[in-house]
Parts: sequence; structure tokens; C-alpha cells
Amino acid sequence: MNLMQYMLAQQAIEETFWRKAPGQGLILWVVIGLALGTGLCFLLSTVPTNLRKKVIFTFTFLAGLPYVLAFLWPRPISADFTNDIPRNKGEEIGFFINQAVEPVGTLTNILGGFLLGVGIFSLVRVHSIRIKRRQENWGYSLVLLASFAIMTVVGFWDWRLRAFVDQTGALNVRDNWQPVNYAQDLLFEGIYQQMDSAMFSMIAFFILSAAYRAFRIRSVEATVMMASALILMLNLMGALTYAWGEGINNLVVQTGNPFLMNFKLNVFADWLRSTMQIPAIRAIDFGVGLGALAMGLRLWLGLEKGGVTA
Amino acid sequence: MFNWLQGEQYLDTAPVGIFVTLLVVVFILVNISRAKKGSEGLFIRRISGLNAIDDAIGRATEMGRPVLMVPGIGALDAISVQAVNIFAQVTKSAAQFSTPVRLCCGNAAVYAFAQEVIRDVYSQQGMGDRFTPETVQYISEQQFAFAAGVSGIIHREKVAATFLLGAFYAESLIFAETSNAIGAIQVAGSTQVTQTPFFIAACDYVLIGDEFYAASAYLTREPVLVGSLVGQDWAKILVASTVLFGTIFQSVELTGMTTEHRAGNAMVSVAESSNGERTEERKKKTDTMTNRLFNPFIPEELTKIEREKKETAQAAEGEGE
Amino acid sequence: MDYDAIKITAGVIATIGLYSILYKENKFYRFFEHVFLGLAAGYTIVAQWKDTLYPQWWLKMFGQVADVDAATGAVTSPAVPGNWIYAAMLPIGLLAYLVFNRKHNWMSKIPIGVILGLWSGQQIQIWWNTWGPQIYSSMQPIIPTTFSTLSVPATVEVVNGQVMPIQDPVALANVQQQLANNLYLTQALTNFIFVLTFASAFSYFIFSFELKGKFLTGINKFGRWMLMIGFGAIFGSTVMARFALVIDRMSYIVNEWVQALTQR
Repeated sequence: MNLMQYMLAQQAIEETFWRKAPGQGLILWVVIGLALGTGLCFLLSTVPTNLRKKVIFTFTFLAGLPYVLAFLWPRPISADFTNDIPRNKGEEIGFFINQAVEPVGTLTNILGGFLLGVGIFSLVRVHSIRIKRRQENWGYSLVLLASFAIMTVVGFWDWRLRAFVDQTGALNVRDNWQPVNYAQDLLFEGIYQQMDSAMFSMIAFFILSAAYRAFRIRSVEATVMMASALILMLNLMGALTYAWGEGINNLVVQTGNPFLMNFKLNVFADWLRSTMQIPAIRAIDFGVGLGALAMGLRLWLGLEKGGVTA
Repeated sequence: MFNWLQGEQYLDTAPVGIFVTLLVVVFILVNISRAKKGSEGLFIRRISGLNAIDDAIGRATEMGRPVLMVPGIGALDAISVQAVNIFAQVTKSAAQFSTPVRLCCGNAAVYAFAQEVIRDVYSQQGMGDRFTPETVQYISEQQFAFAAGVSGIIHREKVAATFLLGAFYAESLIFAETSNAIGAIQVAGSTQVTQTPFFIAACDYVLIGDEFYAASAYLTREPVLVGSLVGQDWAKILVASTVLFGTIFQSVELTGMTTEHRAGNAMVSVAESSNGERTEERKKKTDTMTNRLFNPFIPEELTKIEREKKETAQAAEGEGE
Repeated sequence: MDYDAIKITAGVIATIGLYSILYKENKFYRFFEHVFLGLAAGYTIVAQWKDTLYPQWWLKMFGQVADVDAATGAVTSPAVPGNWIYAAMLPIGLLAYLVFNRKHNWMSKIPIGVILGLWSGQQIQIWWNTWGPQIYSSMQPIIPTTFSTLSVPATVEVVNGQVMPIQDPVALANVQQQLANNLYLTQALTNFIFVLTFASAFSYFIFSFELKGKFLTGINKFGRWMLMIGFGAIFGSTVMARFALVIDRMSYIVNEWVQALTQR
């Protein structure tokens, strides 16, 4: 790529105050952004105690506001928010809100990403203390920290090789692998993924013991629950469903009454699900949805005692 | 006059959605302010799972073993906040008896939040020194690594009681059965209906559905929470009566006949019969007024508004050609 | 022993290590539990960076230089401008780390508040879109439109002592037409049970009104039973899926491992 082509490629960028073309100028702006953020944080640290709740409330409220506005303000009809020019003042505001919602949505992911370190810090702290004080099982903590360190290094190294060094996709073929790619594959595919599946599959054993205990409870409710569970389980056993269905077919032939077809196991199980499971579960979900809405409202407006603002 | 304010959600019957949402919001806010004025008269029905909290802590105190609390593996949202709020109540009781607690988080943001809340509880009880790095722990962001880690803690610390409240997925049974295996009392509740049956089968006390959300109002009797709960109940009655009334109304509508059917955003006449007479057909579900209320009809001409394109967009289009 | 055999052997040992907790908690399990937690933490950090922070934050902040095909000089992907204000998010996110600081720990609530605010705003926005359609689909018609037959007409017939779908295409089309246009008594009854189940299960979640009288308490009790039937159905449908997972693991240990060890 020669300089001329590079310049041409850059020209397509329409620079605004917020958006700059990649390059040295942008790096300076990024530093300014960092400084602004840090400055804001220092400013906030001087806020007197009695105003702290208000500060947190303001952040919370502003974060939720774009969504509420996008819900309430008339959404421009059949608009392409990136390329269209709004027709009037009302649409202009609608465009602005809808354009704002998208970057705001990624905020959760970004902040969540930064916050991950808080958790990792806790993990490392708990286990380092255990090692330092030679508490019970400290050797295992050493194992944990070691596998954490190795996985992190190997993971980033492998990613760097694949994303930046290897331009042609050669690393997708195992013959071209370097030792670090093997290490990543062994740790992730070989061990981590298998442990994940092992833990997941263990649920089957637990389901058996849970079901055994539930069947033994002699309350009407538990009996009702396990009876419907039993019907669904039997329905999923192909051979049984088939044999039962053949029996029903014979009955239909003998009596000439096709209504009996409804008593086939799979038909009955479907009926049970669509007539009883769906409405019952929907009733629960409605309550839960309302609970979430109410909680959201209380958090957003700073009414929740246990929330962050009160 | 208000042409410039025309928007997608304000066409035909679509404002119904906004109207109902705002109505629910008003229900909640009105009842909160009502409760703030005096919440003595407000009633909350018994929630048996929550009465078990004190029993469970008492048992842990007798046995001298810790209480384990898991707020699920969900991200930081209302479910996790609610779970941590309930755990704050549990911690308060446990702290009074000097029973240690273990709160295991599967999400770093939830961990940061819980750390803050639980530490507050301890310092309010004047027991700040009892809050150790192990009181609130971050285990893992990954579902089954989290399950493995928490199982290990349940076994090694021989917890006397487990509180599993929050967003649980497949790992729910691992926790419930592991605690059962060591003889711990379990109080569980998940907003995830797919996991509730496993909790019912495996745990001693279970909060079903939004009993989980009602829990903090029940435990604290905080006016804001009680009021909000009453508002939610109003909204539930609104929804239930809408469904009942709509069922009857739509049933009656469906017995009628029509000459044109709705197809998406257009009306299509019933095909004429061979002798040229106008025919009627039975109404389909999409032809009812009830349906239209929930599936707004947007006139064809309004779905295609032409706008000028920005210069950059025009340039990009030009290049493509 | 080649790489594949080493890889699969390591996986099998780790699997057995975790399985050993089914017998009792032991050192073998403890070792693999801690390996698992360590690997998971490392994996999470790398994944968080490369799947979330790098594309959604770093690239948004620094933009992307245009890709130009060296041979033809054609632009393969246009340059993307960088949004420098994204940089200000880093210090705000880092405020969460003050949770460990005694003096400034209140500031850790700022990023947490932002996350919760975003979530709350979304709830208000999506509530109706999620539940509106469900309210409508719960309104099932309960008045039959025909009494020509009480139950739904059959789409099967008995041919030579066997149950078969109706053979005559005209007759079949006729029956299907009838099915589409009418609501039969049994269907109406089924729909009635649906609505009744919904309403009674719903009544169980009314917290602030005392349900008095035989009728209301009866409805409430019926609702609880219906909830249990629903839960049972979920339980029953999940069991089989979970067993499939165990069978898959067994096959991994028995088939794949043995193959990997013996084939070479």
C-alpha cells in the first residue's frame, strides 16, 4: 500500500468533533478523553457526603433515560437513522434519540468488561492470602493461580498470533501451529471444555436423586407434579410411545371411534403442555415481568432502598 | 397540526402499548406514595419460604457452621440486586448470632455490588471486623466452573444452610443436591421457571415466580416496597381482567361473519362465489377488533416515507454503482 | 504418544476427577476444581477482551484504518473514524475498583448505578413488546362456532383394519377446510381450561389482597395444582436431555479415548 492509496482511503472519513480519523491526531484526542474522564472522577471524589446519593442517582437516571425517551418519543416512520436526513424538528429529535440508544447499549458490555477485573482481583486476593498464611488447602490455591496465569498468557498470545501476525489464516490448519497454539488448544479444548461438559452432564445423576426424593414426598402437590413429569418422560421414550400408539390404533380399528386417537401418549403430552403448562408458566412469567418492571422503575427513579442510590 | 409528531408507535392502535405501560407505572408510583403516607393497613399474604430463613440461620448457629448464599449467575440486573437485598436481610440475622456467611458470586459486577451491600450490613451491626475477603467471594464467570467452585465450598465448609436466590440455569440442581447431600437446609427461588421444578424437587423451601420479588417487601415492610407490591397487584388484576374480558369479547366476535379479511397491513375481500354474489365467510382470528388492538394496522402509504439522503450516504451509493 | 492422545487423556482424567465428587469430596476433585477455576478465570479475561472490549471499545475509540488491496489499490474495507470520548469510560469503569477502598468506596456505586440504570431503562422500553403479544395470545376463544359434531372431525380413517390418513384428497381437503373455519366444542373446552389455568395460576401471585371465601381459595388452590402440572411437564421434558449429556460423556471416555490410545 503506498502513501497515495492510504490517503485516498482516509479521505472517505467525515470528521466531526466527536469522531476523528485514525492516526496520531486521534491518539491525542484519546488522551484528552482519558484526562477528561479522570478529571471528572477526581471532581466527583470531592463531592460532599450529603450530595453523593444525588450524584449516583444522576448517573443512574441518565443511563436509563435514552431508552425511556426512545419508547415515548414518536419513532420516525420507516427511517434509516444513519443515512437519512430528518424531515422536520420532531423527526430530528427522534433521530437523535434513536442514534443515541445504540452506543448507550454497548455501555453495559464495556463497563461490565472493566468490572471483570474487580472479580478477578477478589479471586486472586482470597487465594494469595491463603498461600501467604499457609492456610488449609493452600496448595490448591497455588494450582488455581498457576493455571489462571498460564491460561491468560497463552490465551492472549494465541489471540495475538491469530488476529495480527497471521494475515493469511494459516493458523487455521494445525500443521502451521506454533507451540503456543498447541498449548492453547490443549488447555481450552482439551481440558477446559471437557470439564465444562463433565460438570454439565453430572446434572443427570442429580436429577435422578432429586426425582427419587420428590416421588417419595406424600403431598398432593408433589404427586401432581411428578405425575405430569412422568407422563412427559414416558412420552419421550420412543419405543413406549410407539407401542402405546399401536395399542390405541387397534382400539380405533375395533371400535371405529377415531376420538380415541386423542389418548395416544404423544397427543396427550402435547395437549398437557399446550393447555396447562403454557398458561401456568405464562402466569408466572407475567408476575416476574411485572416485578422486573417495578424494580427497574424503583432503581431508575432512586426509590429502591437496597439499590445504589438510597 | 401534530403531523410532525407522527411516529411509528402512535399509528392506529399502537399507543395502547404505551398507555398500558404508563398505566402500570402510575399504579406502582401511586401506591408507593400511598404506602409512604401509612403502610400499616397494607396486607401481604404469607410466603412460607421466607419464614424459613430464621429457622435456617438458627440451625447454622447451633451447628456452628456457615450459611451459604448464591445470587445466581445472571449479570447485574434487578434479579441480582433483589437477591443481594434478600441476602442483606439474611446477613443481618446471621451477624446477630455471629454466624459466618459465604456469598458466592458468578459475576464480577454483582460481586462489586454485593461486596458494598454486605460490608454495609456488617458495619451497621458494628461488626466490621467480621467482614473478611471470604465473606463475599467471586468464584467464576463461567457457568460450570462456578458450579464446581461452589460445590467445593459447600463440601469443604460443610455449610448448614444454603440460600439459592436469583437467576439460575442448569447448575441449579448441582447446588441443591450437593447441599442436600451434606444435610443443609435449602431455601431456593428462581425467576427462571425452567429451574423452579428442580428446586421444588430438591429443596426444602421454594419461592415460586415473583414471590422472589415480593420477598424484600415481605421481610422489610419498607413502605416503598410494599406500595410497589400493591401496585404490581393492581397491574396483575388489570392484565387478568383484560385477558378474561378479551377472551369473551373475541369469542363473541368470532361467531360473526365478514366480507373482507385482514392480510398484514391490508384488507382483502372474500373471493366472490361462482354465481357472482357477494359472499361472507366466518371471521378469522386476525379479523377481530381484539386482534387489531394488539397488532396495530399501519396503512401502507405510511410505511414508505421517502427522505433525502445525507451526502456521504449518496456518495457511498454512487461508488457502488 | 502423539498430541491427540495426550489431549484426550488429559480431558478424560479431568472428567473423572470432577466426577469423583459424586462419591465424595476428595483431593483429586479439589485439584481439578482449582484447575477449572483458574482456567475459567484466564479464559474469561481473554474472551472479555477479544470479544467485548476490543471490538466494542478499543476499535470504537481508535477507529480502523482502511484496508487497501495491495495489488489493485481498491479499498476493501473503508476507514472507520475513532470516537475519542470512549476513552473517558475507562476511568469511570475503574471507579468500581474503589469498592476495596475505605474512604472512596461510595464511588464504586457510580459504574454500578450506570449499569443498573441502563437495565432499568430497557425494562420500561421492552415491557409491552414482551408481554403485549402474550396477553393477546392468552385470549383463546371459548364459544364453539359449530355443533355439527361435538369433537373435531377426524383426519384419519380405517382402511383394511389399519388406521390411515383419509385417502380421498377431496374428502381430506374438505375436512381440513372445516377444521380451519370452525371451533368445535372440545376445542372450546380445551381453550376454556387454558384460560382457567392462566387465571387461577395468576391468582396465586396476588400478594396484597386476602383471598377469602370458598370460591377464591378454591381457585387459588386449583392454580397451585396447575402450576405443579406445568413444573412437572418442564421437569419431565428436561430429564431426557440431561441423560443425553451423560451418554455423550461416557462415549467420550469409552469410545474416543480408547480409540485414540489404541489406533496408533
